[in-house]
Amino acid sequence: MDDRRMIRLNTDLLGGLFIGLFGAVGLVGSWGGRFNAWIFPRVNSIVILAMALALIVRGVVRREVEDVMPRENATRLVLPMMAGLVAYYFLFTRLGFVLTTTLLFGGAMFMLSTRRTWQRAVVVFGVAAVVAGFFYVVFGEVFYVPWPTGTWLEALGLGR
Amino acid sequence: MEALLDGLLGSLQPHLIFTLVLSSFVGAIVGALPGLTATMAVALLVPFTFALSPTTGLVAIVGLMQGALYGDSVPACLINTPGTPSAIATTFDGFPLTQQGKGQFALIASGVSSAGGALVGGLALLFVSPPLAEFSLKFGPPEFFWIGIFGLTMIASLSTGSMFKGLAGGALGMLVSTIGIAPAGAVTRFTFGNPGLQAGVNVVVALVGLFAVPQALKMVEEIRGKVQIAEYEEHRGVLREVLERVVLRPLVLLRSTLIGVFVGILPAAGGPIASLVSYNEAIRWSKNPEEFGKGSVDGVIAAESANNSAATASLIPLLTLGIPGSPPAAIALGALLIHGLRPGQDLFEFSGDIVYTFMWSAVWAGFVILVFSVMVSKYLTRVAVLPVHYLAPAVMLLSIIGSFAIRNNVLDVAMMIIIGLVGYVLDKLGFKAGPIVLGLILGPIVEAAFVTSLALADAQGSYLQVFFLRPITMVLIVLTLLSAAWPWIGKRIARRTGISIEALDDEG
Amino acid sequence: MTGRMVTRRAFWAVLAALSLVLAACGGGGGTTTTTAAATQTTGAQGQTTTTAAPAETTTTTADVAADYPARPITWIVSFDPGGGSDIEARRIQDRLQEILGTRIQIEYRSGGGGAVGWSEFVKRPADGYTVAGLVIPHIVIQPLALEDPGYQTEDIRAAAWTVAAPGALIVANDSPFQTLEDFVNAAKENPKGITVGGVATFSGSDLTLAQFASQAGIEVTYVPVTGGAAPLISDLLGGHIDAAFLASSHSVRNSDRVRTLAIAGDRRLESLPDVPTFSEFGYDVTIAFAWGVGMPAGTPEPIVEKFGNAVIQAMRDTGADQAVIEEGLDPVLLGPDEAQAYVDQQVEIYTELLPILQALHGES
Repeated sequence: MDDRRMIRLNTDLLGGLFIGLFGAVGLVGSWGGRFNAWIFPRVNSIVILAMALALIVRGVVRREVEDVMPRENATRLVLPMMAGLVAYYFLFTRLGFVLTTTLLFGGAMFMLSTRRTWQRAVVVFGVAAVVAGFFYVVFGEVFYVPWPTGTWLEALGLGR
Repeated sequence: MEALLDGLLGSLQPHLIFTLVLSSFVGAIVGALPGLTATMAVALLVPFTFALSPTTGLVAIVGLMQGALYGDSVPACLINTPGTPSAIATTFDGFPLTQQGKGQFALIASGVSSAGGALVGGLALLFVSPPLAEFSLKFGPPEFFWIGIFGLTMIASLSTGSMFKGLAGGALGMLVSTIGIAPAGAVTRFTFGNPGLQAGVNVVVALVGLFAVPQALKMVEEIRGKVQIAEYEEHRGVLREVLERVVLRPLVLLRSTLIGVFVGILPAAGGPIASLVSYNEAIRWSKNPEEFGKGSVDGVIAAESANNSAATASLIPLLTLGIPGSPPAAIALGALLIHGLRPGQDLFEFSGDIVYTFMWSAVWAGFVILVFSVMVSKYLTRVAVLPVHYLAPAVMLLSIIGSFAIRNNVLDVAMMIIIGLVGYVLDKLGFKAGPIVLGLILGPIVEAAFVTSLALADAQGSYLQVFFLRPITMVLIVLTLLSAAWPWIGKRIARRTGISIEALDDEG
Repeated sequence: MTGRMVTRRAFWAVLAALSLVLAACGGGGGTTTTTAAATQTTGAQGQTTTTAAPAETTTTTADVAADYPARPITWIVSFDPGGGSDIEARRIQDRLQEILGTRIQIEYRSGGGGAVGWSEFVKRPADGYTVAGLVIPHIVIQPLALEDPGYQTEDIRAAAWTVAAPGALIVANDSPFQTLEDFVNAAKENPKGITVGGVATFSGSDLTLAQFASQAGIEVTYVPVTGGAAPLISDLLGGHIDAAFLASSHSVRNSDRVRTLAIAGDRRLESLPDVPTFSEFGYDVTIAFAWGVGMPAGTPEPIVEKFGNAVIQAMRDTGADQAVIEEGLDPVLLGPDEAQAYVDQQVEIYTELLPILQALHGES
């Protein structure tokens, strides 16, 4: 594949730095304290840091880059999907399960579609609404899952 | 002997067969939804077990358990997301098979091996319960510590690519597993002031985050290049092909089910560990270890047969000793107690009819699963043909639903999303989900066993005695060393025999 | 189902709003009883006051209970399905539904030895529609011992205690200890050399062992086992630990393989008539495990009473009060009037005990 179309990264160097962060947090957090409660996280933090160091050294020495993902899709599709996932969490309790799901599930299906026409929008949001309703009822009634109904409904005095 | 035969006849009563079929079916659906586990399926049944006769209730529990452990392989194979923790190892080869258009093959293989697992597990339950249960008692905290360490050597075979990254991922998984209340001392760790983190990161939540979210995002990455996971191909005679494979080379299935039975009887272990260990052993003993992770049927067979036999085996210490070997077994214990039945020798003597009927039903569960898998696999496979613009959002939605439903906790949704996004970045940087999940599952076992062993060592005044000189620990230490050194030993053997083992050719 | 409920709630909300306006016009006269529920909010998820509270402002105290329950009740179990807390809920669920005339939904919120479920529970509205299974000593010890348990014992109003089980010192059948004296003598000969297992650190078993050891003048090594009673009994039967401190129900359940040296409390158990109590040897060992149900503090008393009494009645109606004796449990059947006093008594006991343990573990 054409080089410019792919995001290429030194995964050893970046990976070492990224996972090293967790090791550092773990080591700082587990320093001191009762021996038998903290020894295990401390050992693991040290292993992470050691491996991170090895990866960083290798990354710097070898300077190898790898194809990671197609550039265009990464910014146009993957990032919005990730943002949507985070948005879901924040809307979940406020708008409630059904509305959030309809909006974001439908939105994701629409965004990923090859042809984005208004007919298509009607279809995907319709599908999303039906799916949301289905899971709301089935999980709510059979598994007794207490879905959030949304704070806006509660503000109106309708939610639970 | 007479009780055995009475049980056989008893288990064939129509209402029990009906219960078994129905509960397996419900179990399969619950298992197939990521986030809903076999334990939850069984928990749903609890109110009924109080009203039903003990036999019917117990049969339903077996059906739900076995059904769920077949159902969990369906999303594992089709969308690379284990339905329950027990299907982690199933994803390693099941999903590559689906990508190659052999989804139906993978599903039927897992159905046949689940059935095989249920069958062998059931037979073990019937015929060797007492000696197995006695043997399981010899495993104390030091032994569990070494089992955990032995399990960690699997990182070597699960690290595709870099061994450094595999080890770092495993350690990260274990570090994450320490979030919450420590096993020793009233110490809370890494909760960052949030009491909701006291319970730690739920394994199912982590699992959904680490597998499903990155998978959905990876589908999105390639959306313009590929519209589906796989083309649909009509296959005929898949069942025969799978059966031939299993019958002609029975060793994989046999070894895996025995591992499953053995791990299943240990109270602290269970399905996820059974299937991971048996997957690892399948690689080690295979003539073509390089095929694993790229769509080896043996990988699917090893993982799926072990978790089903482990589930049945977890009932062995329950019935003989009154020690439930798994959460579903704990519910079965509740069902027994509520009817005034006390597990142990008395149960076999005074309520042999119930016990043996129940045990035979565990055997039949295998056949029910087999029939299911053959009937539904053809239709289920079509999930892989769904266009990605439906499938990727659907996978994400299921992850959210599953992570919320596991404890009805919004915090779990947040954790799933964070773990999912971090997991995706890690995946892109070459840290695969396998070693991280392994660390997450084994971490608590290793740590708890370590802390308990420390207390034992304090009492005995000898660390050497407790950690290294007990007979079974010595065996486990040898196994661990062999397993850790296997990449090098394997290479030696390979060089001598002239078979190339690319999978083991690693810089670590 | 859900739709109808929403409609009904909407109706009450409108009615309540109307009556509030009327009450305000009337200058606050009449029978308005503002309950604590009206001011209860749930923090974590930003949910606000529920509709039940305004409805109550228009009724007298007795009427609060007369209308209750008007919709399904959620029963939080802070442990996994199949655990003791689950079993005690399921035992009476059916009959309780009949008595109260509404559905009771069991919700599992497991983790942190129950702390996760209870911290979530105390944030729920105190309107009687959320109840939680309670376990002694957990709800007393956790707030005392944990840095940040997420709830306080005072945040909970106990409505009823259904069953209890005294703590029991258990050994395997093949153990050399035939009696409690054997155990004490061996511990004296071999200080710290005897291992006694229990569930987790700073737990009931941990505290009680410290209490017993200090009275008997012995030193033993406490072995904290995670994962509940199952691995503990397995370690005991396998000879990895010398003894275990557990609820007496476990000694009954595994009676063909274990021997109980002594139980806590001041009287012998019907199901274990040959097992002496610690007090018969002159030791004052107080631990008891108890299972019950409660509501968030601030729930109107009439509602607590109605629910608590219904729980006790359900225990009697189903015959569970007799059946549990077989299981090694003690049907204490403490109704709403005595339930809270029982908790207060436990708080006193453990507040006194905690320093012993902290001194033993060498931390503050």
